[in-house]
Amino acid sequence: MRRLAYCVAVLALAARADAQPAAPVLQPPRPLTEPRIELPTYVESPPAGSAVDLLLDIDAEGAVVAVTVGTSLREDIDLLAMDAARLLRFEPARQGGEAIPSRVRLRLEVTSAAPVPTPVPVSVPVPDQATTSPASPTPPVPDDGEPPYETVVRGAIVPPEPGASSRVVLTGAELTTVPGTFGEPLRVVATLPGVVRSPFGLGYFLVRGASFENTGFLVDGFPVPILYHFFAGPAVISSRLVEHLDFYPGGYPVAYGRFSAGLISLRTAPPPTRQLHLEAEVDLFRAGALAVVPVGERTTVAVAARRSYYDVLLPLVIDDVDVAYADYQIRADHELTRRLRASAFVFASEDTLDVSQATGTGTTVSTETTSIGYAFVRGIGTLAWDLGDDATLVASGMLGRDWTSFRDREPGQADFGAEITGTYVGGRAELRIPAERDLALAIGVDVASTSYDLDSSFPSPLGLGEFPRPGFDPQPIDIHSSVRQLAGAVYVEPTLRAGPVELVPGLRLDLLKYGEVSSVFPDPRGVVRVTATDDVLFKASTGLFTQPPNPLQLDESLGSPDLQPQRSWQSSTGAEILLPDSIELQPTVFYSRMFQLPRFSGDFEVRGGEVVAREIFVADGEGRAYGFEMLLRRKVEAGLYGWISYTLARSERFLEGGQAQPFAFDQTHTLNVAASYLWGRWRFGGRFTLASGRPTPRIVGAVFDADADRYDPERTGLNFRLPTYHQLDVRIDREFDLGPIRCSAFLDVINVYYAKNAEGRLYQYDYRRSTPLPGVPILPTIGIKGELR
Amino acid sequence: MTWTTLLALIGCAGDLDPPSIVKTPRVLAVVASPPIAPPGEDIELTAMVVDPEERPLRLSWTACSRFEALGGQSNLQYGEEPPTEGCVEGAEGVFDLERRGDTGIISGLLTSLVYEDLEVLAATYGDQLPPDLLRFVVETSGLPVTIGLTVRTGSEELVRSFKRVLIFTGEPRGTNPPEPRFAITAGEDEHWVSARGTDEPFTCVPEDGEVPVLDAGTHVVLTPDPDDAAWQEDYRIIDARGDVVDRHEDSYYSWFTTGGVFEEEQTQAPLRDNVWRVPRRPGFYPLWLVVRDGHGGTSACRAEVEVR
Repeated sequence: MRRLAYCVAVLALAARADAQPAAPVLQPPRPLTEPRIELPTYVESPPAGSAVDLLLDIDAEGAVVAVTVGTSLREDIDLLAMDAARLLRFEPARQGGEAIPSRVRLRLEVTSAAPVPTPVPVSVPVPDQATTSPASPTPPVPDDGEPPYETVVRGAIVPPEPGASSRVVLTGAELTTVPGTFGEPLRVVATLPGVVRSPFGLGYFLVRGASFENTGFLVDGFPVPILYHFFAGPAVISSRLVEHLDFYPGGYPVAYGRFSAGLISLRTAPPPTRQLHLEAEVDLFRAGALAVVPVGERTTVAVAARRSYYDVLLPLVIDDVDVAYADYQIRADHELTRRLRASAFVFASEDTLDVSQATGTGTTVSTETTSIGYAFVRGIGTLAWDLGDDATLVASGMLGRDWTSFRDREPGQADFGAEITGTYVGGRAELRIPAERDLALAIGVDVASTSYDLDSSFPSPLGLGEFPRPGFDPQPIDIHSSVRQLAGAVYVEPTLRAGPVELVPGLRLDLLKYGEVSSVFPDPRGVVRVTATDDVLFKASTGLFTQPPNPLQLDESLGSPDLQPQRSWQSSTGAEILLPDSIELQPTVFYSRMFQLPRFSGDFEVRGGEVVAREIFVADGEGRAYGFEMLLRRKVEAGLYGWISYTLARSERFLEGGQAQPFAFDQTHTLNVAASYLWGRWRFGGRFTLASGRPTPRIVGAVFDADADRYDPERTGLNFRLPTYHQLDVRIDREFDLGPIRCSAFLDVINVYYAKNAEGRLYQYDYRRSTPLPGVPILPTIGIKGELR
Repeated sequence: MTWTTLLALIGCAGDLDPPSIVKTPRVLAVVASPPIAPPGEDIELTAMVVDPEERPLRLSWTACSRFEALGGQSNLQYGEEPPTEGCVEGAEGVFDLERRGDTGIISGLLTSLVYEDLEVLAATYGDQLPPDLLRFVVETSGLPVTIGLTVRTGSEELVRSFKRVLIFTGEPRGTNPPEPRFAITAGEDEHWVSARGTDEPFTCVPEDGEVPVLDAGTHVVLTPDPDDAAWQEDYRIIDARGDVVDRHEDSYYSWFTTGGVFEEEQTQAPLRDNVWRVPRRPGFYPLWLVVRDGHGGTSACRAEVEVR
């Protein structure tokens, strides 16, 4: 086995130091052991002179308690270096003779790329007094006396969130290399427990038996309207700006609200770098670029952009269909002081779809067109104060704007269209205080204002004296209205510890003001954890979650301004078990009861004894969901990660009379097995999905509507299921260098053995016969990315 | 249209039959004369029913007026016995099949609508619709009554259908479109067929007296009488918000046959033309055309062509 020698040099020392000139002398930490890194034969040598920077947290005993990557060299090399760094022992830093914790930047430089027959001892130029003398370069000590450091998270240890009963954190390679997810962090969520398949693998999530609109998407704490571009496109934010992803299948903390099921939260950050960083990527459907520019010592600016080229490829296959999307992100991070950081993040997205089709025959031919457009922009500004003693204060604000347009023109029929403009203003502030060892406290506020302006001509529900017309030829109803929604919440979350027991009782008070509703909705929640052993923790939670209606449901003329918010009471209990080899096991049992679920009524009603009109939305639905989840997971370590997630669940909605009926997306069993292994500069991964079929109506006949010239099916309820779904996806990544450019190419194949899964049934016009509606076929995607070092 | 195209493009339709090719017992049209009438006035109902097996058929009907069905829903949709409250049953009869060539059977049923006056109608709604409001609705837009039709042969139920009529005391009252008339154009040859001026119900006869003869496998253009704007009427409804608004009828053409392929299942003015790929097998083939105005008015006819 080859062995490569590395020259180890300690570049900079960071240690607690007293800013006063007369303070006790600081002695930096000193390595006691020599790092030895053995590269397996299949590992390609990096270029000589390249280096990886690590940040090591050293305790007062001299042991390395945490290692993070400052400047990456290459993922496989980074991992080997981190493994080696963890084994280092130091003479701890001392101040006034007393051993203190410290943080060290460690640079590992490649001094030889040639294989050597025998290991070369690594010499460590131990920093001596010369490094602390005034003549020697020392790291600048800021005014507040705190040492300089960069916090870089890559495969990081993310601190627990006391108020979250269930949370899965994805970082690093887990975000971008899971097969079948196109390198999109958000799609990885679909493989986690509690999440059932969405039809055609589209990018929306059905979590713990709730509907897809009940799971919220947050970016840096603020909701965003969509996560994916049209036509199963990528996420609207570059994966390179995603620091980590938190998935709460339920029981999320009181710091968040206004969604009645789960949350998917993205935390963004620029890629860690201390020098200009350029990346570009190209695959079958899109191209993108990223630039990260450090400005001085304390500022980083990152710019990313991405655009599809469906408009170039689709005409080769199909005429008269134009699809395009683009997204842009700009982020600036600035360290005002060692304790105060600021960031500004602006991101925007745009999607368009235009379809035109010649129609008519004989002597008269015309064109029907459909156009859909959606664009949004968000700006988030954040200030984060480190108040000392682990207390933090974070304040952030968000401004946003949405534009939605829809237009449908068919000859001989009424034109339909809508122009919807939305404006969003939000703000958050949270103070976290670890007041005592056994008591911590988080308090915060969360305000949001949403306004929609709607200018539209919609298909109108049938009125009295009106008949359905043959084909689809509804009559228009013009709606010009504005809808305003205000929300303001305060929350408090104490954390109480008594021995192995941790209790987190939280309360969120949400004032919701919209339409004819103006009320405070309390959401009490609680989590209890009991640490049985170092490796076993038991937990339980319960809580209430409130979600206001979609603003479009509140329109005065064709909505229901008095629609009450939907609510759910969620409870769960489970365990977190740490097994050998960094494997975690998390079994959970959950139960959720849903109230005031909105439904489209359409029944006529008499208002005030004088007007007959349609009742559009009613919030009188109820439902429940219960089940068992299991996650067996190995986090990224030594290039290998993987998990097995299994969900056994039932989701039901109650009909009039109290009878329970399976929810339309209920799936009894959902199994996902995902694994990925780094072997040298290759990464190989696979993902297998097995899921029960969704309920589908059992149609026993049909009735001919002689006015509409169509058949109306006769149903007997949702007591028939689609066949079991199964699919295997594989992915191969390969890294290679082109001079100064580090490249990565991938091949991602969805449904590699072409399972002919049915996503539904297509019925004949009279419902006498049907045929399966096929799902996604085998779908390969290739791409390449380059990163300028 | 766009979704149909998309599904066709990805080959999802499979072996499903198109609605325009008649292979099984079908109700192709139900005509109410008049489609809109005040309480107590007779409404004649006739149904154009096709049974390729030419069996004796029996039709039965019900008329229902219920608050829950104000939106015009059928009461026959849920696999259960339809509710009887608010419903009236009419007469049944057995009718011999009238044959037109090898296929095409027409039968009819005469009845009268049994809601003698507004008080009888109001009683079916009870407290759900106050009498003054019911009177307002009947005078403004009309109140829907659902007519259910069941076609049986012996004890076997073949097909169920329903149609709406309006109880309306206002003016003007809507009428049915005139009986159909359309052209069959093959190349330079144009043949007009029409149901106007004939006593045969639901029958379009050649205006020149000669059955059109078409070459097998060719494409012909079917063109309804373009003067449809003349019979389209204006009317008022009470919309979903409770406002009184105006509506205008339109012309919708549904095409049926037993062989060949239509380019469109339905056409609508101004794109009222259709193209029929004539069957490759010689013989006599029916062409059915059903014309609707989108406001309960219907007319229909059957024509016959010879393919050589």
